[in-house]
Amino acid sequence: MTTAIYASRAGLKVALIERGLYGGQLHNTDVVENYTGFTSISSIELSERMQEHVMAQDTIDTLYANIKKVNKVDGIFELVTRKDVIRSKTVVIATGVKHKKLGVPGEKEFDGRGVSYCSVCDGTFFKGRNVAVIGGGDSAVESAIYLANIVDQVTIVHRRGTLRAEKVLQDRLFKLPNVKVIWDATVKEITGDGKVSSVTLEHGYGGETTEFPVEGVFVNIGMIPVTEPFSSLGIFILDEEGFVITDSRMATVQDGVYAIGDVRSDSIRQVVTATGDGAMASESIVNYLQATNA
Amino acid sequence: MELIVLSQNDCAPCKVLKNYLTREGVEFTEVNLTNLPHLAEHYSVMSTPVTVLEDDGEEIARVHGFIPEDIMELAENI
Repeated sequence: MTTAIYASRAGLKVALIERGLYGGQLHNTDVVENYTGFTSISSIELSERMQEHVMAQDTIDTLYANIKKVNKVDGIFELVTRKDVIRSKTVVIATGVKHKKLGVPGEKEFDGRGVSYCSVCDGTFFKGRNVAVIGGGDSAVESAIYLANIVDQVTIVHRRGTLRAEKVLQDRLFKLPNVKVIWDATVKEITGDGKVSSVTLEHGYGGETTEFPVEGVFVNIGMIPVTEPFSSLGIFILDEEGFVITDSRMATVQDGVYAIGDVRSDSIRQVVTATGDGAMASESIVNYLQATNA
Repeated sequence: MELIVLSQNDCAPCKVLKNYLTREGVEFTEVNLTNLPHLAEHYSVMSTPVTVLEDDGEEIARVHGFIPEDIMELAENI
């Protein structure tokens, strides 16, 4: 959104393509307390204000669509959506991240019917029930702590013998009477009938499997960058975790392609840094277009 | 045909979805599931928002989450 605003103010015509929520991961938190100028602001209000700011610019076309792939034809990028092809001299990748999936049978089938990736969003549906939290990092432990106040029993399933979460979070977790951890175990399958009723766990690598009855499975095993639509661009440099590598001016190795925000390698994934990236990308684009007389 | 939005009070994407449908001029009925577990059970919902297309009370299709492209495809059937 920030790139669009800056580019519009620089006199460029901009298409802002959003697949879902303006603000993206901003919606995974209730309140933002570290965005300069706002002591405390709800995530929805901040994203709405940003969206209003975008809508107030005359030269930004906004549309909701999912980019299927991107081609470069005669120096022009073609962004293919379900219904349209959008042509542009430059592209800014601000696709952010998405929840990493377990990739086991039953996960997709029961998504929204017992499988969840957001305890704050969905926790209340599991009041008085038994749930499993998958993962061992900060988000998994925060999720378990949050759920412990709502559900009957929380069981963390972790593939290692120790948690990676911050010590302060672990201290808080282990004081809770209705939380337990199953160590060195991985989920092999999620089963149920219309909704989740159990998970199949493998203990150790290649060890015995057991059936563990739960009504909810909260998957908190990290985030992955959304870069699939851009793989068709050919030369596209990603770091070891799949995030897009840029220089300090947000330029990728592909001429005319920039990356900003959470999808960018080395991003600290904050609203304030994402907006800063956005301003820098706009500046780079203006310079690029002038240099190439485009 | 009727479009039903299943929501909760503390659900940011639910608010965004309702604002979006209103802005696009799409008629819908909101069912707020907060503190109504029997309705959540009825719709087999354990996550919100969910947009359901119904024909005379019978579910035709549903979209889980705020995915405007998919939701507008449902809305075209109203």
